[in-house]
Amino acid sequence: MKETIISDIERLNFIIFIIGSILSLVIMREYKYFFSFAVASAIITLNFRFLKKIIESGFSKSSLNKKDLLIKLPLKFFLFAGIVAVIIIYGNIDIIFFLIGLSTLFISVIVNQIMAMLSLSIKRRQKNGA
Amino acid sequence: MKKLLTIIMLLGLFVCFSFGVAMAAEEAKGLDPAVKQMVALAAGFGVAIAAFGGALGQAKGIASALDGIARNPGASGKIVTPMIIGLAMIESLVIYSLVVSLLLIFKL
Repeated sequence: MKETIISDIERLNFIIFIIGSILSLVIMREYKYFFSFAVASAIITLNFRFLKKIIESGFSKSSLNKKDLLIKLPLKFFLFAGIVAVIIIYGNIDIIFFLIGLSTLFISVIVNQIMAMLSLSIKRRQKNGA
Repeated sequence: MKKLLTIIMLLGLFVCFSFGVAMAAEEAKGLDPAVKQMVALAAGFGVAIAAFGGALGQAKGIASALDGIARNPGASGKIVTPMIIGLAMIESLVIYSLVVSLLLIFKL
């Protein structure tokens, strides 16, 4: 099976963020739903991006970078948990759309795997046909 | 380009957040004290169980990945990619439960 590349998932995250925001605005015709989805999707996309950066910088170097893993990783988690808490406490959001937005990563992983499966079956068909 | 994209998304996040603050939170309804106690218990236990499960899952994932890298350092690139995806998914599940618990406490 085709190897999953993180940048593919990142790109898919961003595409789902844009398409979902537009769809929520078009279908519900209210800014509340649009903001709920957009904020949650942006949080998850940025969370994934920062996680990738921190872990790659920690693992890719020959000497394990302790500062990145011990300080930046928990700090990132607390930052995003704080943002989520503040948005829920003070913000006027629709929780269903907020949770759908938080599922952006799951959706993009599923879409990525379906695309990989489809490309594999197309290759097989071409092989059998040739 | 990627930096610009990140900055734009952060800015969008704060603009959306400020819009939410302007709308202001609704006043809490008067619930029965017994129900409030149960809600507090549910919220506390919800986050605790989610954090416990998430921590166990992340610990197992990272331990296995480090074990694999230690055995075969050449495969670290292939091991780290699924590990990052797994960690992000576990973390987002914990954030789900945080959202639900915060909702129980502040919006009920």
